[in-house]
Amino acid sequence: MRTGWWVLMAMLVVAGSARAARAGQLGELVSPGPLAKAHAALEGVRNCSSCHEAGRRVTVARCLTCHAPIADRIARKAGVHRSAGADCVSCHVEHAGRDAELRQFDMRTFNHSADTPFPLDGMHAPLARSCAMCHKQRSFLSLKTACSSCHTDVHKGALGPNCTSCHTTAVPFAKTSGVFDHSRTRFPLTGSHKQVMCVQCHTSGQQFRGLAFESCASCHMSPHRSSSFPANCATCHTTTDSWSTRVVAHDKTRFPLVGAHAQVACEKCHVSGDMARPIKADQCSTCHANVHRDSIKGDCRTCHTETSFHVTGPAGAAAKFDHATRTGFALEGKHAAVECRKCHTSISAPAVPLARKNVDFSGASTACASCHMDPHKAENGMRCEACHRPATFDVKAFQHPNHPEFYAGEHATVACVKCHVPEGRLRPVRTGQALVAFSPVGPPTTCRSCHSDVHLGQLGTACETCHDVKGARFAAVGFAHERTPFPLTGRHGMLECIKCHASETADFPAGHGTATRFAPMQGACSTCHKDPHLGQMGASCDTCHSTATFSLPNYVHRGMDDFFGGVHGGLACQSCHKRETGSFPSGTGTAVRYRVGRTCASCHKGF
Amino acid sequence: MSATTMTATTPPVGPASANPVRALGHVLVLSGLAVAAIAWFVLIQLDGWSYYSTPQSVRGYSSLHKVLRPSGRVGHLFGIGGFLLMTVPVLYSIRKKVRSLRNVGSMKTWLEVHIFCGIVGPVLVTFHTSFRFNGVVSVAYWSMVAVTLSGFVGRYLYVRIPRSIRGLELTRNELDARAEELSERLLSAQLPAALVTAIAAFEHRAVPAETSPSIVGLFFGELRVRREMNVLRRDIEDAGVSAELLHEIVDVVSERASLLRHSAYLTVTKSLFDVWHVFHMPLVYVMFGIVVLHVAFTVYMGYIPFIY
Repeated sequence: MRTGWWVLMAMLVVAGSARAARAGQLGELVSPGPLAKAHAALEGVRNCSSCHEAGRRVTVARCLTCHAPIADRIARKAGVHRSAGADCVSCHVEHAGRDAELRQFDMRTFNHSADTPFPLDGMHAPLARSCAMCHKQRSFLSLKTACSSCHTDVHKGALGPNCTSCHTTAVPFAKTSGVFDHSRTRFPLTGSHKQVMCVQCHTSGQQFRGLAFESCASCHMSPHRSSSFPANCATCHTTTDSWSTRVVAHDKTRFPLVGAHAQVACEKCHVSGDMARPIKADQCSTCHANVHRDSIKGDCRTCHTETSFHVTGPAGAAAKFDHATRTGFALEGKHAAVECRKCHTSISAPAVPLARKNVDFSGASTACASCHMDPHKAENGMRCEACHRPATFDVKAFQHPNHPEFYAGEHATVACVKCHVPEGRLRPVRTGQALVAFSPVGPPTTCRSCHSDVHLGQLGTACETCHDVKGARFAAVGFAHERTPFPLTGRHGMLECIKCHASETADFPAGHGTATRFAPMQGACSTCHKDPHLGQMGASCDTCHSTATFSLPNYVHRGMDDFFGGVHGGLACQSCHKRETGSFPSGTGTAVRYRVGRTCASCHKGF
Repeated sequence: MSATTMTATTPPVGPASANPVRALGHVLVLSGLAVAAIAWFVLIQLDGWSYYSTPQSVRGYSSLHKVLRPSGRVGHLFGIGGFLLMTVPVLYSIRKKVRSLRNVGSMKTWLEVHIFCGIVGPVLVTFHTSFRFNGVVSVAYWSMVAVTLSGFVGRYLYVRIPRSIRGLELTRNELDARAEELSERLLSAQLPAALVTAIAAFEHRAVPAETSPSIVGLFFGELRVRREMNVLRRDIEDAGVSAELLHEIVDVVSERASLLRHSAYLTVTKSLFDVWHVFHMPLVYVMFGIVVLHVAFTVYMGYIPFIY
């Protein structure tokens, strides 16, 4: 039984091996697994040594025997294998099955720019989604970086092999014209040439080289029939403008175009259309009509420049026209900004067409009245400039010639109309100011003619006794209380006037009204002060008090030396004179009692 | 009538550890623990689970490939370790056959080591393969698997041939004597009549009546016996015996049932065990033959551990 088993086992092993050998699959017996598709041809026991080296496993040398392009890149330290180590199998794992991937890399993270000499930028960027869009063969290295590896040359080689001299990856082929730098060619495109479609010159759509461009006539046809024009178009025309160019060499003629003339269309002057026909350029009237009729004759350039006909503003002819020397009437102050036709009223409005325009400067006089109305109705004479200046009608600068002391101080800043009040009915004049009457002799200069007496007759009519035009806000600069029956001494000198002189409504010399009381005033202390002693001391306060202070620090009891000689001399006043409420001469109230008994019992109770 | 304890009047049966059947059971537990430890180390600790579950076509790009592939830093060690462990069971065979080695360790110890290495070794070899079974070496692997699985069958038969503590087979007379001894211990307990009847009925059902019982009964009858033993245990419990006595009765009845069964099946078991040897052994030669070639070839190619 045992022998039978042995024979069976031996037969199984021999049969299996023989079958494998016959099928040429002996390699499978020792192979740890099928080779990947790329190496499928190396399957079989005879090919082990293609990769494996006895005692040394899989050596780099064996791999690179076949993978020569990789060997080249490793040697050059270029591409994906630039930092490859000395062991291929650490990255490329074989015997993992027929469908195993020998080169596993993540398409999403593969950096085509860093790992290959061909960055996928611009229009190539979407190709990164799938390698197979470009790499049609298994080997990634079979593809070259030349454009022709993938693209067909529609120019059929006519423009050379270097596509990038015209094309970039940034734009589609069809839009190359939008970015092509024509300045690299012998015919840089400038001005209007930049706007021309490629096909308008490169008419075949294919021929980009060898186009004739030495003469404009290579592309353009001359519209000028006269032979007087120069053969070189560039004499008059440039590429930076349209054909209707003004950039002609007018400087070379006898009439260089300056200022406004440079803006005029050619046919405005060359009305015949023949640019070569001469024009009488020395006479303005050849082209321009004289709007001044007969008022001005002679050389227009005396007043006008070629900048503009307009005669207002600094750039106009007025800047050149000297009104002072030529007319004897200098335009100063506000006159300088006045439009000409404000004075020269015969000048047509700006809207009037040139053909009917009248610019007649004659007829204006230098007298103010020829333009201005006299709001003073001639009562101040006709010499306006005696008060007014061209700068403004305002007469702030006027100085009253008489009584300078009266017009000094506070009077100096008073507006004219405060005194020169309007008389009669007011009517507006051009200046917007009211009609004002100025008497040749002026209003009376007594205070009462302008000021009312706020004291209501208490202090007489001689205001200047106290007031002066120099005192601001009617300050009584000339007043001295010493002149009154009640000179202010001591503490009285420090008081505000209003403490004594209160405002009151009563009958005053000038009538009933409200005014500060100045006269008559009582000089008695009780007029202002209350009696705290309630009549104990009589009415003569100054017996004890002075205006310096109410307190009595050094009061001496007269005729009582024996009484105050002893202990009594050291007592405080209030030890005897106590504050009490009771009956006093002027009535019942609370006060310090001054009249005290002289008996001992008056102070010493129960004595 | 009340049951009394048996231990007072009868000598004790040998300790459980002396029973060869139970000893081999401990080896199985030990082997299972070793296998679990290895599996935990490889699958969890080395993250082998993710590596082995990765499809083979892309496994090469796993960071674990350098470690766990057959020629990897750890994978290679699995192969060497598995190979060395698998040589140990062969030593057992040699020990058994070579007379001069008769005194080198007891057969029981040898068998325990044989079983342990025969279980742990294939597990290491399995991790060495990284679950890729290509080429002729896979024949060696599957041979090993067959030998290992047959080993479990062999153990099943082996423990059903009663032996002495030293591992020598017992004669039928010795078996009968032991059965009789157990029977007397039961009788000495003065069990209730109903319980004695129940035990007798259990033994009657557990032990085949015919002289040459079928192989099917050998392999599958024990499940039925175990079921009936549980029924009997409940019967004894219902009889109201103490927990200590219950335990003892069950032990004695179980051993007696086993003895009687083994005795009845002894002839069948022994003949099956002979046939088993013929199956178990030749695959070992096939396995080692191919493995030697496998090792020689890989060494020739330069796949020698620690030389990278």
